[in-house]
Amino acid sequence: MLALVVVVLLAVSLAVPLPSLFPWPLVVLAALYAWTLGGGEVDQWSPMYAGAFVAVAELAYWSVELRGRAQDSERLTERRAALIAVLSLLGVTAGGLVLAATSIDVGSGILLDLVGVAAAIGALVVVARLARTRS
Amino acid sequence: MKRTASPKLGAYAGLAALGLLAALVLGRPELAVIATPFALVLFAGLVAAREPQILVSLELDRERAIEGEIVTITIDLHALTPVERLELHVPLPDNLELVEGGTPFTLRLAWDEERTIELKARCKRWGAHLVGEVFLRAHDRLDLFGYEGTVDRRRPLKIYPRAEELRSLVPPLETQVFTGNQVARTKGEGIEFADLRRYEHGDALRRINWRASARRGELWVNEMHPERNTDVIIFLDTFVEAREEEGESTLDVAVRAAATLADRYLRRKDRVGLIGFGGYLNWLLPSSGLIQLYRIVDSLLDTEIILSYAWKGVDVIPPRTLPPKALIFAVSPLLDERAVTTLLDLRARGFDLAVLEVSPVAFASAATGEREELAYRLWRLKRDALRARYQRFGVPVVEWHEGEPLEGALAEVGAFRRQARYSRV
Repeated sequence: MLALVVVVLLAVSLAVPLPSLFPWPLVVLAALYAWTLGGGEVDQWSPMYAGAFVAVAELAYWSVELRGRAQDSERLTERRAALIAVLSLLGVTAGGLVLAATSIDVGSGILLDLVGVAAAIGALVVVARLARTRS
Repeated sequence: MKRTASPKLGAYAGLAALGLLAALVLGRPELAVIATPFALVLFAGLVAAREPQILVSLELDRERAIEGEIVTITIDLHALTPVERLELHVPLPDNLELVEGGTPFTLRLAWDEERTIELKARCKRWGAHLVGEVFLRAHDRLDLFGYEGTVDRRRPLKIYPRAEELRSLVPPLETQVFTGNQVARTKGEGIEFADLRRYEHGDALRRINWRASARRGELWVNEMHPERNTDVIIFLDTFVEAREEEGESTLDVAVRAAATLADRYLRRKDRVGLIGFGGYLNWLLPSSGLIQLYRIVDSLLDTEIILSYAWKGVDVIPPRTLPPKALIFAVSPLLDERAVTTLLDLRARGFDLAVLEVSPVAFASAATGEREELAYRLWRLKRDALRARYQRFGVPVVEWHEGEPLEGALAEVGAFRRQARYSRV
């Protein structure tokens, strides 16, 4: 039922179009996915889902872009379609690498959790700094 | 160029952050797996983002064109940095219609690539324009940033009204004192034979008509009509116009006729002046030559309908623009009372006046109901009555419809004037 709501939300945000709404169906889908995982084993198909998520997001933004696009004489459509395919494949590969990394036993504990949090924050800080310096 | 972040940038950053955070909180690596591609796209896009450097130049193949001609707009682009997607828009004035190429259009430019784009546009209507403001919008490969800018490469383009076919003109009744192509009604030095008279002391020997002298037994000389120039004032009524939806108007047609008349009269070495009589008054003193033609046409290009409720009469027209013995050739749809009254005032002041009525009838939509049909008929009758009123004052009024030859309308003016002259006799 919730998945249907997600599809409707995505369809509405595409039809209007409302690019600011695009992430929310993905967030809800990811939440649903996390819910279905529960406390079970690590899902080996998650890299595929990661690739699919990126593909959905890229296609959604591309659809908005296509609406306002001017006359195209450079085969840009084909190039963009290929880029999305490559991004999805790279997403699957990167997800696979991350998944493989999780299988390495490096121990556990609060210290490791703190390192993980610091790494996540560090990554976001790097992204934020890059975005600031470029604007 | 002004840089703007696309909605995708914020969305991907949010998704990546949320995914990583959720993975840490819930202890599920799958969520980190899902967040990873978004983070990677974001990172790659930010590292690769560079402000595009593009040199733009724009040229028109001509500065002056005539209605119906094709103008080529050449845009040269030189990319100093690669541009994945460049949207380029050159807004064209309404009077230009693209016939080849399109704007806006999208293209990709490689490193140091030079590209030439040609747009061909047909000049639909006369007017003076500045063409060449170029709007640029570039996107990076992953579409995280957009770069927008405007390059001002405007070039002037004057679209002149196309000339109507015209072989003969309406000659003014009176001529001026300077040499021209119009045979004067007075007698003097000229080529056209006028009359015979007795020889008087001082007459040139070459003017003696030997045959007439032999017949009469005394010397008789030929009298000639001199060739003189004339003054023509083109009176353009710009108070109101009748316009088709998305189409031509009476003003478009009137300007075309005025430009044609000015061109033809100036070719005859006549002096031509212009009065644009409407919401604002625009005038050019009579003069002759090619420069005057350019002055008149440039002035006509600026002609537009300015809505005004102020009463204007003949008193607002500078007296120097109306030389004595000038032919005033009015081009008017005869829709505004002020123009109608002013023309009658000019006639009452003794000016030689002819009215070319640019008929608004063709621009009026067809009557649909009984009442509308009645109103339409009344309107037509009122116009006929107005025409008859002018004719009572000895002013020829000819109705001219777009598409019909102007020559025919002028022939009608000439016929009326001949008839009027005979009736006076």
